[in-house]
Amino acid sequence: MELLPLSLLAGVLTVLSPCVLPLLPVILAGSAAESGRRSAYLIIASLAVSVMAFTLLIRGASALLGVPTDVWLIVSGSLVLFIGVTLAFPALWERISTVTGLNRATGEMVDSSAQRTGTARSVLLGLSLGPIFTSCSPTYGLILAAVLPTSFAVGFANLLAYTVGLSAVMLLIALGGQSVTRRMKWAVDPNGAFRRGLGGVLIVVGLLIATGVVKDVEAWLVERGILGAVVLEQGILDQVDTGVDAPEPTRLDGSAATEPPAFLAQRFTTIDWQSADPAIFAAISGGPPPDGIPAIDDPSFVPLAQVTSGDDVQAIVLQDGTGVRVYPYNILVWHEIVNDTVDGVPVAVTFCPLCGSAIVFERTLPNGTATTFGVSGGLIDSNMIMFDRATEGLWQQSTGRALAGEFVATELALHPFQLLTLGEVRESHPNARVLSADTGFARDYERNPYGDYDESDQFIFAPSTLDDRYPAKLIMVAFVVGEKRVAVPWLALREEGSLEAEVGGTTVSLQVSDGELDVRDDEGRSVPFYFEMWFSWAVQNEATGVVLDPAPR
Amino acid sequence: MKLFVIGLIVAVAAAVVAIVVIPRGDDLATTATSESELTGFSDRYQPYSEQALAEASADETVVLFFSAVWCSTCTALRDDIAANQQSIPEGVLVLLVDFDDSTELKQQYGVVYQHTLVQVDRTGLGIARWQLSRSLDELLATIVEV
Repeated sequence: MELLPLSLLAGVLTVLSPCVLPLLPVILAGSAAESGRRSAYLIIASLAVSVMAFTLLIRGASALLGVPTDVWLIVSGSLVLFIGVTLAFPALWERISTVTGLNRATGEMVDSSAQRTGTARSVLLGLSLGPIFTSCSPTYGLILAAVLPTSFAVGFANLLAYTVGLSAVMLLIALGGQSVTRRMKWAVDPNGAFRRGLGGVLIVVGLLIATGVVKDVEAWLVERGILGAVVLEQGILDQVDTGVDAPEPTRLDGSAATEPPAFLAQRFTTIDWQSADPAIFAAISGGPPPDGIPAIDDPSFVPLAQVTSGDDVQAIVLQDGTGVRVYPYNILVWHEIVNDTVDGVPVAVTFCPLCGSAIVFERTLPNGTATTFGVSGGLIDSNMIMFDRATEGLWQQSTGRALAGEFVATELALHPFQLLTLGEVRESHPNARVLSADTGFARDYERNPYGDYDESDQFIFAPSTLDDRYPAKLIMVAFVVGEKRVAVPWLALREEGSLEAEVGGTTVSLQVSDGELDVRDDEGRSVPFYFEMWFSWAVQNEATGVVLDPAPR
Repeated sequence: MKLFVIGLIVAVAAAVVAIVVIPRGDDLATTATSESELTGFSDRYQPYSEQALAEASADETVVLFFSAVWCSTCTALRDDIAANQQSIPEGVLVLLVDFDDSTELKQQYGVVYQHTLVQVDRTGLGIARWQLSRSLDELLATIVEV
């Protein structure tokens, strides 16, 4: 059976339990004090809105956890008290209005002012009760504990059903209170003693709420076994198969996730997750599903002369025989991976916009198979998780390491490339061929879907750690010497032109000319490199990596 | 409308006063609030205190039971634990925490609901969190492997 009707019933039954204790007198007195049914509807509608909002704010999320319970009691209690005062001492209220100049400022007619005051009072009274409403209904608990964390929509629907049930009964009580009042002729006079008495009731209840005494009374009732409908409701919950299981405990220690996130598990069904690198369990969905960001498998190229993109557009540049192939960022940002064959070598040209990582891999698997790569849609610390189509394994882009699938823990080989602007390419490689904007996908390559992300201090997905040695999004050039992973601030290196340093007993020399970088080890061998934003490199290598700064501050 | 505005001002003012007046530190020494709760404890089931937690042995599993005095589902579990504490196995310690009076602990372990259980080690490091255990047996069965 669905949980929904049960939620509705639970809302209705809540009225019989001690937790609604503060609500009942406020609603009864508040609606009896106003004339007309409209005010009863207003009070209950505001109550419903307030209960929903504060349930989601305080019990459904941890954002307001730092606010002590007493604060909510005082806020609610003060509001109820304030409304009580306006009812009990109408003359005083008039004077406050006049003194504060609100009467003149608003220039309202007396009649409409009175009516508006009634409306505002009803709404305020309903709203005041949300922050302190804590249901003792086990169904409500089940919704918060088991349903809301797995599906916000279903959880919201059940909360709504619960609130509707609760409000319906409350409305009956409010209307009942009003009809009793109407029968008592002497009670109708808006300035009469009865109305002022109701104000007095609200003052007392407000004080009881603000001082927390009302919770003590509830506790006293509960201790004496007056649990209201809770036992009945629990019985129903036990009898009926609601289709909602008690959720697994939430792990709080680092070993947190031991399962892949659902969006990956559903798509990559052949992966043996037991053997996977636990890092993959921390992956989150970046939004688009697997292949939702389409890799380009069949790239076509046009002569540089035909390309109109501006000189400042950055591009990955690969040597292809005697010429070069250019993959501009304005196209890569929409596809992230281009599976190509350059100089007879199958390569994957990859770019992760959220961590500025530009890396060219050889797309030959350890077993010799040439595969193609796609975008899984998963992110670890903003970094793209790629999947290979031959074995359906998952690979992290920034490290080139397999996190799940047949080749776990192996790494893809890096392929040499340069990071240049189109302006620089136009200078030094006028005959270059450029990845065509005619990709077969309808994308606006003049627009960057990430806006000013590169320059902004903001993240879309906050990284797990931030190393403040450099600005988070500063572009680093990164490479591996022996066992050491090395990063160098790229713009500083470009300005300096060259750098020589010892890393783990090896002397590396870096030379930049015309924007093109050459990295050599002490035996003169070329070292392949890639580029990545500082925060992203630091997340992986903060502890063991080496940073070389050509112009230390 | 003006009443509405003034009402909101009252609410905000009350919140400010409340935040200023209420001492920030929780009273962690004892959190049980009524006389009847202070009875019926044993060395396997106690009110929470930093000391009680620190005195747990290294291989002991500690479960913090966040419970509000006005919460009826909590009361059912409190009664069940109190009645069956001789069946709490060696190596398990249940510490009762008052939900309404433990803002810091609630923040530390992300406790939003009045009937919540948090498994910790003796240094207070959170291991697992769950809600709404109804009986001692159910609580013990939910304890996770470390």
